[in-house]
Amino acid sequence: MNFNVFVALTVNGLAMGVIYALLAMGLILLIRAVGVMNFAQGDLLMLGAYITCWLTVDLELPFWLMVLVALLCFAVVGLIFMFSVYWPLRNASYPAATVIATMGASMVLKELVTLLWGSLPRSMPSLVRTEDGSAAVLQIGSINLQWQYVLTILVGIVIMALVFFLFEKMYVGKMMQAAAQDAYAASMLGIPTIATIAVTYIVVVIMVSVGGYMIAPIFMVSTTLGSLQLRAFAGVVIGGFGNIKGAIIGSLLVGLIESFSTLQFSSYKDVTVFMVLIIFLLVRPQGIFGERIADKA
Amino acid sequence: MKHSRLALMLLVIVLALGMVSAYAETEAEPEFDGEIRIGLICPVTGTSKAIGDYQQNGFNLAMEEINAAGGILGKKIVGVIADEVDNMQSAVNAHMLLLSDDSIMGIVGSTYSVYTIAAIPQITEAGVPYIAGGSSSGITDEGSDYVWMVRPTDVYQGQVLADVAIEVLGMQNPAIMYSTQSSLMALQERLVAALQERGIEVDPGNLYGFPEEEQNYAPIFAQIQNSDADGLICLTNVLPASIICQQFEIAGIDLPHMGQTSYSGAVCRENAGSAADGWYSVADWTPEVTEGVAKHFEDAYRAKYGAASDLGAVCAYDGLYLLKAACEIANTTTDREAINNALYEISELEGAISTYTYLGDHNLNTSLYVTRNEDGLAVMIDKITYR
Amino acid sequence: MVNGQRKISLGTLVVFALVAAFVLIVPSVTSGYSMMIVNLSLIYAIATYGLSVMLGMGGMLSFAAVSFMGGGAYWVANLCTGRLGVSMEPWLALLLAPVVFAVVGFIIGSILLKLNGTYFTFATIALVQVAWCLFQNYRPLFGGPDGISGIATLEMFGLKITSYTQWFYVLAAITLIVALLVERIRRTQLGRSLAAIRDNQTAAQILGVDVYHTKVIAFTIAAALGALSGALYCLQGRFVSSDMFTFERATQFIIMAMLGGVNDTFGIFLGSVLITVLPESLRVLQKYLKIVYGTAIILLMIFMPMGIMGAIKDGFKKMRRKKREALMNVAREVKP
Repeated sequence: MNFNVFVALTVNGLAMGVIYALLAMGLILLIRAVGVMNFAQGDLLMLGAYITCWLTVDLELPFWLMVLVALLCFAVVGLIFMFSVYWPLRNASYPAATVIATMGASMVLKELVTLLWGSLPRSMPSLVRTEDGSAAVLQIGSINLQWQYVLTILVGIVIMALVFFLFEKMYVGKMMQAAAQDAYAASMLGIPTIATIAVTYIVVVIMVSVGGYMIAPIFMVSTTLGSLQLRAFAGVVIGGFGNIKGAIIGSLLVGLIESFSTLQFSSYKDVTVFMVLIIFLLVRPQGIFGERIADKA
Repeated sequence: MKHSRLALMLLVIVLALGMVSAYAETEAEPEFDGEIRIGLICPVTGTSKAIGDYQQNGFNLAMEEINAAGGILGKKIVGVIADEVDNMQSAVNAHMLLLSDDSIMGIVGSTYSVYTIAAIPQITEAGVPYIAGGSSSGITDEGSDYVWMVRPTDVYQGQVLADVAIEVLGMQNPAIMYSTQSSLMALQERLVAALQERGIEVDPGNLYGFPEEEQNYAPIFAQIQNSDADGLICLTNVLPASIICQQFEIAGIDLPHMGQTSYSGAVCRENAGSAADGWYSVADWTPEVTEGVAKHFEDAYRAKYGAASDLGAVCAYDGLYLLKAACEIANTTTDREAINNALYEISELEGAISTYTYLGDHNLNTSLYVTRNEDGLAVMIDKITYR
Repeated sequence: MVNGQRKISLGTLVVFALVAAFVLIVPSVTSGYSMMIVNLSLIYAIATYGLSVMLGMGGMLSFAAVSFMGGGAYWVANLCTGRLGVSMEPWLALLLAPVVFAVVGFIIGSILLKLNGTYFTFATIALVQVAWCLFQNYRPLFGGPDGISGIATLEMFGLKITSYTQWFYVLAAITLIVALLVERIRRTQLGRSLAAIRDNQTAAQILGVDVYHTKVIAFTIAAALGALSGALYCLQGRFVSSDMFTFERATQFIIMAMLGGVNDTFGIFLGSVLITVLPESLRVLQKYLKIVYGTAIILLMIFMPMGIMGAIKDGFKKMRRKKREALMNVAREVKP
């Protein structure tokens, strides 16, 4: 393998890894806050891509307005999602019920976007473009990197840093964790559980939707975007369940494994990724960074 | 209690609507002497719905044309559509739905080869003439008497692809990308064999297979760019084709490139936009045809639907016309066995995709188009009659 | 107590009558197509029974059923076409499938069940992905994307099973046996141990339940049933390809189990039939079907998480309690 290929595969792997990391981080925030594994996570990403595509391509809104409207939409989606598949189920006698409700939500989201926007994949212009409107390419020596990938990595890092700061360092985040660990005690202390959970859901939807927005120009907007979530699951497990730092590293690792596995077995990509996952589970079930935490689900 | 009553009311309304629409469909016009029911299998829902829409359009166009001209032997064609959704089981169910209906005289089948292959035992048992929309030689290899093909099989496509790659694009060491799907994997093998016959050994390192749902082709492009390949041949379905065109352009690879039929398709060109320009294609069909039945079809299609046609549409269109021709040769609209036997007598029947002739196997197709995408159109360069 | 005993037997009688009616009436009123759909739901029911042992009794969410189903299907496909140079009578291959995959399931289960709860669920997801990817790509064993066709027809006691109606009787019999088996397991030590693990793993351990082995046995049973279902699927359709054994199909099995009632033997059957038949009979609604389906799942989980049978049982319990309360009130009034 020559150096150019190495760099290209690394950048691509990292960009994909960042997207998985956004999904994975969202998964962990939800697991921590409400103890629910979300099987519609990838579909929320897909919905984000569709919404931004609709705002930019169909409505042709200017960028700043698009961002505002999109954020508003994401927040509303987050609330709807929470009040339909989590809130009524929070006291469910059977823990699998909440998980299965998210599977139902995944189905609804997929069909909803095809009803609203048709079943053909839609294309979105790249964020960084050359003068003739095609995607701009970053050239370093003999290496061609698509700007969109570089941008995806940067935006992903910024968002993850912000969310990390919000949840791990700020008072709000501490409150949320308290609410998650013991809802009753937290409510005694005057922390409104419903509000903290709602904020978590909104933040998660915004995170993954931005991820969807970033990859839409590369992958086009279609329902198959939802399938990215399985890789994010892998990232979560490899990184150590419930650990944000671990999930990020784990997701980046998944992205890289996936990218480099195309060297030898491009059609067996899934086997490589998920075999690594199984091996990790067996050898180091607590993940890279995991401390053993109580299993909620 | 209130809710259940509401639900009941809704149910009644839905059922009533369903019955009304069913009644409206079966109401026959007076000028016909009875009717003939023909089935169509296509995705009405699910991820491949776009392809199914084309199939229905093509089918309906042929049906309207034939009915306007007096139907088949005076009988009005009534279309019966079954939804194959996007998975094997639903597809087999859809096949069974039509096959267990004794009043259906012929079926215009799925464009997915593997769905047809899965249903072949049932098709043969039911004895219904079936015009497949797929292109895998696996369909004819099963040796069913009732399954026919309108598209060239991968055997011939492989030969023509190899010719165009070498003679038109001057490739000596091509890289081949293909999705690991029944018909495309078979085509890849035929292509490699055809290249070998012409003295070109394809390096296994230059073969890139990927699952149909793959979205990220950048790692593969990075490898091709840094290998010694002097050309790229892509074999995929239409939806991956549009993504490949876009990512290929972005990757900035300066190699001659071509694809099989998907790359000239409307779905690919419309989705990929300018990124699809410059792609050569060995195609079963191009909407930019200039003569004969093909031109008539395309004009009629555009007049009716206001957009260019695609492969699915023309397959369904030709499929229905083939069944019509068979009915007329057999001079019956009620005997499926006779209609099927009449298909063996098809000769020099000009259709939109090709001129159909029975040449000893159940594939009736005889020709392929070579096209190049320019300014969003799949411009026809040549029509090759390969047998 | 005597009263309660009689009620149970009455319930059993009702279920028995329903099953008998189903077996007698269905083939006489349906055509080839509907018969195939019904057969399919029976095949799914067999795999879902495995899930009921795992999820319903043991509380372990496993997606693996679909992979074992694939294993069973490809096992039969390879042996009944002779494509590997070995061929076998279909009935023998069918009989051996659950045995072989019980062994495979035991080995895989011993490895995966070292993991707990959600980790285990993830491992099964990974297993499904790996198996599916292999089924789809590895030609020598699984026929690759072409699948495997030309599978021999099943012959039992000198009788060729070809028509869907004949298949229906075979499948109905096997499903009934499996259902009775699962119902029996529920009442044995194994079933009770599993229930103890589901309700509180630590408590079960303290009470002397061998948690790990109990789970492995449950996984083995589920694997065997999955393989049986796959083998039957393959023999009936005489074709097999990777398309059947995806993650989506795995979620469908879980939904089937949850819909009917994950802890109810009759409920599992009901769920499988409903999930398989409804989409086919509601083709009028084609466009909106999946949305309705998804929404229904969410509503179901909110309002009756124990499925239809769970809800019915709850309803009966409430009625009985009311009756008892009413009786007690009467008694209180009579008592001066």
